[in-house]
Amino acid sequence: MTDRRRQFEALALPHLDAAYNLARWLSRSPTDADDIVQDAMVRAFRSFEQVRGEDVRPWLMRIVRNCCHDWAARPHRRRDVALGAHGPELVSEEPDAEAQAIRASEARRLRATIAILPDEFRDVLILREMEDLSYREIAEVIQAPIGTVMSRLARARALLKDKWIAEENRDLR
Amino acid sequence: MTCAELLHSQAFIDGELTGAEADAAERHIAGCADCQAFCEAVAALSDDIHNYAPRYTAPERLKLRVLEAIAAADVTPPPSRRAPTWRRTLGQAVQTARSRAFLGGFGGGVGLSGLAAALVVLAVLPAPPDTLADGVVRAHTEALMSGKTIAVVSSDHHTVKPWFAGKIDVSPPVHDFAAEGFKLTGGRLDRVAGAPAAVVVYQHGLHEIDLFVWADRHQTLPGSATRRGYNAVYWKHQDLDYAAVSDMQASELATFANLVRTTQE
Repeated sequence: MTDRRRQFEALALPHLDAAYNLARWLSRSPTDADDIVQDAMVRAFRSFEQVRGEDVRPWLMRIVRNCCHDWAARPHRRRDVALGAHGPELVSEEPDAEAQAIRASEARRLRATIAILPDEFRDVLILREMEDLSYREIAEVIQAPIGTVMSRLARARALLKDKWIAEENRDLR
Repeated sequence: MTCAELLHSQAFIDGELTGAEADAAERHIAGCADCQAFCEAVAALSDDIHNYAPRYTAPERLKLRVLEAIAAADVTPPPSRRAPTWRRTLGQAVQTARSRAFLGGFGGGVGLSGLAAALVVLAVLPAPPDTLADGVVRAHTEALMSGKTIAVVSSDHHTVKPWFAGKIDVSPPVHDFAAEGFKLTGGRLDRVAGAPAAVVVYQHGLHEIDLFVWADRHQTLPGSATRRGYNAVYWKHQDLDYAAVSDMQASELATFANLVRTTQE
């Protein structure tokens, strides 16, 4: 194995989950996400001298996001519109089956709500809420000023709140 | 949700504000119903996302696929860099040999290792002095044009020197010569004729000076060179090669180079 490869693997592989999570949410498809992440990691490997000590994570996230866009532009791509139907196993603490079922259906519903957010709001939300990126890092990923990050994030949250919390209140009535 | 301070309040709960800014935002939220409602909603959403929509984690099969893909990409030179034709051809030959070795079993393996060895030898052949002079000036001007001359910004050598550790296998000398008119401004990683180089960046008036430092590969250095209006001075010290490059006058650059060299005596 070359030093270059060893160096890259040490640098980028710790962020494989973050790359996969972003690709899953942006592509909304487990099979596409696999291909996108593979594509992104190879692209990253070919150009990782460019990182120049900057934070690796936002750089890698930017490549994943670009790959997602390239992927979406392909005419004959596979698409299993999952819309949050498949998700990671939730660790259930509820002992009884009914509570577990409710929890599972809530999870499906929230994931579906996030999945239908417009692209430009979904990515900032995922990066902030799931990947814990700072505004500056998100700005690097989406190649936009911090002000744009802030307004999109606020808009993403307002949209999600309207769709999710509002629906929840309706259910309670 | 029309409060003009909303984005500020959001920045506060996202932990983006510190000190007086954070205090001011906190005071505002306490007295603003809109912002309070927004912040509560954001906190509730955050909890729900955490509970109901946990991160996806990369499956093991994907990790293996990625490792394989990187290994496969490792033998081909990156297409973005314009490698000389013979090197590209050789790269392709190695690839062809690879697939043949794969198809033909162990028999083809000898050809593969032979070619790979040839490639390695060619890759480490020292660059001729001319190429080196071009390479250093090219690296300098490309960095200037991309606006990315500095990856670590600091005038403190205690910050710049340790920054290189772990990023590159050479430890360049880092001194501030502000008193002599050459101010330390930072550092970056770059490449010179295919080899990784540490670059220490200095400012002299409006001129930027790049001090390239890379591991010596027994190549002949040009001494000094002028390329497209840029001057460069080269020297060796112990097992490292040095090149100072700038658009300032050759005599001034020589003064700078001498300053660096005095610290090496």
